Amino acid sequence: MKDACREIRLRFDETDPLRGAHLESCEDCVREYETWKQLNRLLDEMPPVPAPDDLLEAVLAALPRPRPKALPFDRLEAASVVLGLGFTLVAILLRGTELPSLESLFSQVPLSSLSQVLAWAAVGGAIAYALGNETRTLISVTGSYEGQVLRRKAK
Amino acid sequence: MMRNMAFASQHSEIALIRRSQSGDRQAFAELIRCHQNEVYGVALRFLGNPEEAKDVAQEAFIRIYRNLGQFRGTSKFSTWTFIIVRNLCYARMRRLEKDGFCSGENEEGREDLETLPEALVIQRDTQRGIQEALGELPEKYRLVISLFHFQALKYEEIAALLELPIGTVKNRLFRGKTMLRESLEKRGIR
Ligand SMILES: [Zn+2]
Repeated sequence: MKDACREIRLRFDETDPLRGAHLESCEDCVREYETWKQLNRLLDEMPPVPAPDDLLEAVLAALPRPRPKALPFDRLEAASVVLGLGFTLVAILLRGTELPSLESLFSQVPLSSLSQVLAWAAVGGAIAYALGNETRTLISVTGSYEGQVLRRKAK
Repeated sequence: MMRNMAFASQHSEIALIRRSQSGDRQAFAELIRCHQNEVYGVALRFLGNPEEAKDVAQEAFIRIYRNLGQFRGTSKFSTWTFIIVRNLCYARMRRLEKDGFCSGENEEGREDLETLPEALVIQRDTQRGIQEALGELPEKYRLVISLFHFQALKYEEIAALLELPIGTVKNRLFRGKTMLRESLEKRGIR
């Protein structure tokens, strides 16, 4: 095979105006080009292989959940502890003063100052933790609802 | 007209990417719908096994979602996604090889044709013959032919994907198709 022919045949799959000039003068390459085009036709007629039907759904189900902007899950406990400590501090500051509300709440049980402090800290921590859990539930419920909507739309 | 349509689809793709980047999962679902056939197709051409290809395609989309922030739009989105798919395919091939599976070629240098999804849809003898002839080609030729003809990738895209010079891609396409044609002629397909 002549170099010129080989060079042209290497470019049979290109759309190149230069190809025309050689093809006009070389019968071998014209024949070769015809069978080449026929092979391309055969290849183009091959049935396409589409992605499996359940690929989209599988991807959506496996995507990482969007992170809530307000309070990340793993920081809820930390927030509860901080709030509990805050309550403790308040209780310590109020220890000396005679607050009727404090007294009346715990008047049934005789409490020393230290146990009062601990009791208030426990109450504070519990309230903060409960509030945190409430937020967590709310976030996960809206999250899974959004997921369902997306999956339904995907169908 | 064609150019307008291409511009419109490219434009809406950029919008979808931007929305996905800010966490809009519906926009990302739309992106998946637009690209799932080509992502799955490329994985299939690399791995030659529909199950593995689906697995890799799924992994690829999750990685794409996680890394969307890094997509700057300097390259085409499809090129960027293909690189992710290719890297996952190479990793999968290494793992399969380590586990004792053959990737692409076995001792006879041919692929188990029954595992190719084409086998399910091909009724015509011609197409079955082409599939068989393709399966007998050395891996490097079959991959380039498949990417060029079945995935409609351009020389430049294949070169970027396989990290080869464009000249090598053209050579492999030419050599591979010449071998394919001889093989088809022996089967009486022309
Ligand atoms: Zn010639």
